[in-house]
Amino acid sequence: MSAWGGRIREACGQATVEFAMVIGVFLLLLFSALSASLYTVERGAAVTGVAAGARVAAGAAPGNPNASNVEGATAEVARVVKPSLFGTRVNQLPGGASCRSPRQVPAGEVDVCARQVPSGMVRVELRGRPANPAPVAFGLDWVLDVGAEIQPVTFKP
Amino acid sequence: MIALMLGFLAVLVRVEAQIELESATSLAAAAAVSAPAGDYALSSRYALDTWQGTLHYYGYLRPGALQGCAGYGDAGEQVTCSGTATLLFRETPMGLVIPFDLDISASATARSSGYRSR
Repeated sequence: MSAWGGRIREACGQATVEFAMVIGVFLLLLFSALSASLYTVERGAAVTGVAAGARVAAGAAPGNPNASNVEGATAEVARVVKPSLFGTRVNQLPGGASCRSPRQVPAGEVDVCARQVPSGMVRVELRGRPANPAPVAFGLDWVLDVGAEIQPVTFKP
Repeated sequence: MIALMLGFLAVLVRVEAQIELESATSLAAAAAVSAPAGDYALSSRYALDTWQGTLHYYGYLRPGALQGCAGYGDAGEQVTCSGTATLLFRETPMGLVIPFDLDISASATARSSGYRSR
């Protein structure tokens, strides 16, 4: 074997080692950027959704002008967020129920709930773990936990 | 590369914080006109409770003040609210590329029903 051939083989080996060192960091940054971008879109939709739901909840329930429209609120949140939560299942909980802790919600699902809190306000929440395109190995497990509160319309007695 | 990534994250955080602030301020304005017309104190309280219940302090966002939601006198009048918050970049890794805190603001207007009782 010539000395020249040995140097080429050494250079190839060095390049492979360098590539192996860099590719992991590069993929981590790439998936982080993709995942963070998607999360921002999803969180923006979630914030907009719970605000829209809160506006609905501030009104009266159909057939009962003295109660907040919590059922209508969860439906409104689901309507707003579904197109933006790619591949995520949206669970609409019954009016008055509390959402589970985000970590208790299975991956790829979110809970939507609305209820009246003791202060008289109506609270609308979206909690869970939306679907994430980044491989689990990268440890990018985003959690959505957003809420909105509003004072329902009131009348003097 | 890492600096680029942190800068990119900072932009995303800035956009996200603005959405949250706009949302909370908009709800506060809506809550202000849900009180009976002429009840300035109740209207202000509804707005503040709504704003504080929606915009929370966490990691990088510190709510500031809500101003202008002082109620309305007659049915059909409008209320304009302005909210502020601070993005605490210096307390996160993003402080490496943005070494200062950023004040953001939002305003929203809501009109009360023309048939609102006093």
